[in-house]
Amino acid sequence: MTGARSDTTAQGDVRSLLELRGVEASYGPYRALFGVTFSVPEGSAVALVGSNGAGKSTVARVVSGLVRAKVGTIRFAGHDVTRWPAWRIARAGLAHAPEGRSVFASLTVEENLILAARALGGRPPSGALDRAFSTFGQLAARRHQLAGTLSGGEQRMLSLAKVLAVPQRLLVVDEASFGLSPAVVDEVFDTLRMIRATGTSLLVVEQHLDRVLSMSDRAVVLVRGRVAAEGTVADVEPAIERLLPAHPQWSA
Amino acid sequence: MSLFLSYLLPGIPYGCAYALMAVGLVLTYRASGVFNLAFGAQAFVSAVIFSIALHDGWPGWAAFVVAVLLASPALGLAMERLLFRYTRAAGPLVKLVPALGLLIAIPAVTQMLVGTATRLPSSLVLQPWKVYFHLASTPVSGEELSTTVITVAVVAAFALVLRSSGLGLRMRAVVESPRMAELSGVRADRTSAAAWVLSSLLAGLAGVLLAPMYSTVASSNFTALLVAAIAAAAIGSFASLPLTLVGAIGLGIAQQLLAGYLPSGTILSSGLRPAFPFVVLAIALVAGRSLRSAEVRDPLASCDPPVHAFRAPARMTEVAVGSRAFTTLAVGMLVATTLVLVPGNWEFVFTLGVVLSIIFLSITLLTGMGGQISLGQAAFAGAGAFTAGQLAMHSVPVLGAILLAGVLAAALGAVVALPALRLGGIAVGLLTLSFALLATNVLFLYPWAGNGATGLTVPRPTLGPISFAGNGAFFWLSLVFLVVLAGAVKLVQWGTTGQELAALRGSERGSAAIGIDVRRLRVVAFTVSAAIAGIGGALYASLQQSVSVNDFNYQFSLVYVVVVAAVGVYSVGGAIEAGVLYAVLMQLTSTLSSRFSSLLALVFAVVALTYVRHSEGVVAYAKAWVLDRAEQLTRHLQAPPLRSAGAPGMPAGSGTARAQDGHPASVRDRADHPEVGAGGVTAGRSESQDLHATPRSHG
Repeated sequence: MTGARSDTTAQGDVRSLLELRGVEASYGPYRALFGVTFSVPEGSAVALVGSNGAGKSTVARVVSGLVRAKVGTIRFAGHDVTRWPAWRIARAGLAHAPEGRSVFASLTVEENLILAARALGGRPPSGALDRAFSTFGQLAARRHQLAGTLSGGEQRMLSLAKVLAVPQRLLVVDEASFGLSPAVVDEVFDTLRMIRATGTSLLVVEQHLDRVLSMSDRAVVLVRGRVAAEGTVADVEPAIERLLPAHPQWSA
Repeated sequence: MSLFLSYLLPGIPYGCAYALMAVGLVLTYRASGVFNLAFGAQAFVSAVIFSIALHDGWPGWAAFVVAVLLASPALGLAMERLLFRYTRAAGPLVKLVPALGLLIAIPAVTQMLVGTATRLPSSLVLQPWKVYFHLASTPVSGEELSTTVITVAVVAAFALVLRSSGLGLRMRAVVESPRMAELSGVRADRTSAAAWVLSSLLAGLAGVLLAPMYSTVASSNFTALLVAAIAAAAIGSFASLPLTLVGAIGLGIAQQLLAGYLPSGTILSSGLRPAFPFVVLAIALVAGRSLRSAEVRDPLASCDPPVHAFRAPARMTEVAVGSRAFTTLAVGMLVATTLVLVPGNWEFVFTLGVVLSIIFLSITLLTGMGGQISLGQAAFAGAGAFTAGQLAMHSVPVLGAILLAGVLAAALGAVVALPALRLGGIAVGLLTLSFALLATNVLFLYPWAGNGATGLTVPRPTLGPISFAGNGAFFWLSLVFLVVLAGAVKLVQWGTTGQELAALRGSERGSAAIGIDVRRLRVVAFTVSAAIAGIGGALYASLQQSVSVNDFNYQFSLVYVVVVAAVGVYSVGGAIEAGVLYAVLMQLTSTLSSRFSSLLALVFAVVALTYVRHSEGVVAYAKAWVLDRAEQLTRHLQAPPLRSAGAPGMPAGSGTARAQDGHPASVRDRADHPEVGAGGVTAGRSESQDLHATPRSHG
């Protein structure tokens, strides 16, 4: 399970693809992050876990530039991206599949893919759409349908298909399995493994602890806007047992 | 046949000009969700610049470059950068009010800069009136030929650029969710700026092409034009450029055919031609699927700081008592000075303020409480005024006529509400606007209604032995009306209906989901609001003692909304402040020269531009600011320094700890004043309230 680079050590490593140092963020007067520091080594899959309201989605948004970090620095692929706008971070190779509805409901399936392929890869690479559609047969059948009419699972697949169409360096997935049936959740995790196999690193925000930990090399535990534990999955597992209340329905 | 063609062919250039404007409207609507009602004003500016430049002896091409290629896009870019990029995630009212403000402000500023001298239009082509050839024995002039050719070429070019460059696709993505578009690598800012620049280019072009079709360059011509353009855009469902083009040309032709075939010299022929676009707009809105299901929310809207509640925060007892005492004193002094101290004309001014407050209350109820946009309130007020006038002519007692005016306006409100039931947001506003235009251009002109520009006389009322003929007595009467109606609106606000209206303002679907009969509620809101406006209008007529269609021109509907929104649309007090303020400022600016006559409108229009930041209204915002300061001062004077809310390492409890101190302060108070309750934590960090201490989940 663990990849060749799973031995990559702590934060600050030169091979870190993404690195957060002392990041603080807030929504107006409401503070969400209090000095978050961790890193995602190149080629790894990192699980970001924590209870509801711990700040996981805010970390994902800060990383992709949707929410500004008030304090601290964020480095991605060798650049200080703390003050970069979201579009620039996206073009640097960081894909963010946000929580909930993450496709353009008013565009067709094909237009969703073309939009991303054009903006991220210049002219749409001829193979991009074919690559996405050959992986997701059910999307190919619905390519001219409005994305808003797809089922929740298909919408999730479409948002991941964008990353397959134009390969990215890091994929940040926020609650990939939110609101999906167990069978579709399996499919989502298979897709994430597939994306990782193409060389894309992963930062996965997830509530299904067993599933996400089994596919990750490292884990970051967030409690009340702070990093409570970070390290390899094996190192962090005792801390997770201790910090996160037991949720029997998740350990199925 | 040739008669038919001679009516039909001249309609094509009109239709083409509509098409240019309509395509521009669709473009900004698709790229920013803003219904740019200031579009007509932009066209006007370009026409004025072009005309001035030519009269100053500039060569035609230079005038064209400056007026169309530079000035208009620059104006559009400024509008997007300074205003509309902040309204992307906002509701329809926040998008509409600044656009209305611009629609009023731009011609006002233009008039102040260049004066009111009648300006003759200049044509883009060298020989506009030269007949180039005959088509089916109808002469085709240079003007008509060039307008048609340029329009078709430009619209085709736009359609091509939007399709092949992917700009159209990016625009559709940005309007749905600018943040998600950015995640796909799209520069949302640049995309919407491009759309505004391109559409403003069309506005400028339309202005220059259209100017020669009218005898003078006047902003009202371009506003009327705008409605035709909106109708054409509605035919194209605010999306399809080809359908918009066809619709616009069809509209231009149909107008000319109507003008040709309807019996001349009747109100039906002189009224129906200008009213025709509104009828088409109403039908297209109601029948089309255009703007109906526009409730697609940005899934990433929660990235923005949470908006604070419009409900005034609970104040400290001392401050609440103090502010109530101040308000009572101020109102008392105003009433007392009106009755005793001020000269007669100011008595009239304050009475006008009271009457306007009543009309403005109708907007508080409908728009502030229920979130329904109406751009036709002046028409309801006018209907009330003319009803009172007609009844008084048939020797109905004036006081009874005023009440009956409310009843008739209410019925009219219900009739207008019915086709609006399936529509939402801005579409309701457009529908009511088309009603207002129909009223001013056709209905109010009939002798049995408003009797045209001559108007009606409405005497002051009497009640048994009491006569309200004097200004002082009439002031008391209107004050009684205001108190009763304001009290009624307050009661509605506090009651179940008020809560249902608040729910409707928040989300129509959500309201339906918790069992509110949304349709019934909207009809009720429109009916009650129209009744209030009708009574206000009738009082207005009785105050002035004569009333004509010019008192209730459709533009007043727009001005009313801008004024009330600028001052504060969410509270009954806001309506009264707006009414009094408007009347007083109107009096103060009435002595200015005609060049600065629109200064008053400009003041409110500029204030409306701040609506993007302070959607509770500027006066409401200022009041909250003052009360915040007062609270802070009181606390400072009476209390020892607050205990530290939490250790530096654990600021998590600070938010709740302060609330338990018995001094629940507003969120704004905390954000602006980190030093309050800062305790031991360094000021920069303690300014923020810990998200984890609140039930709000941002995950």
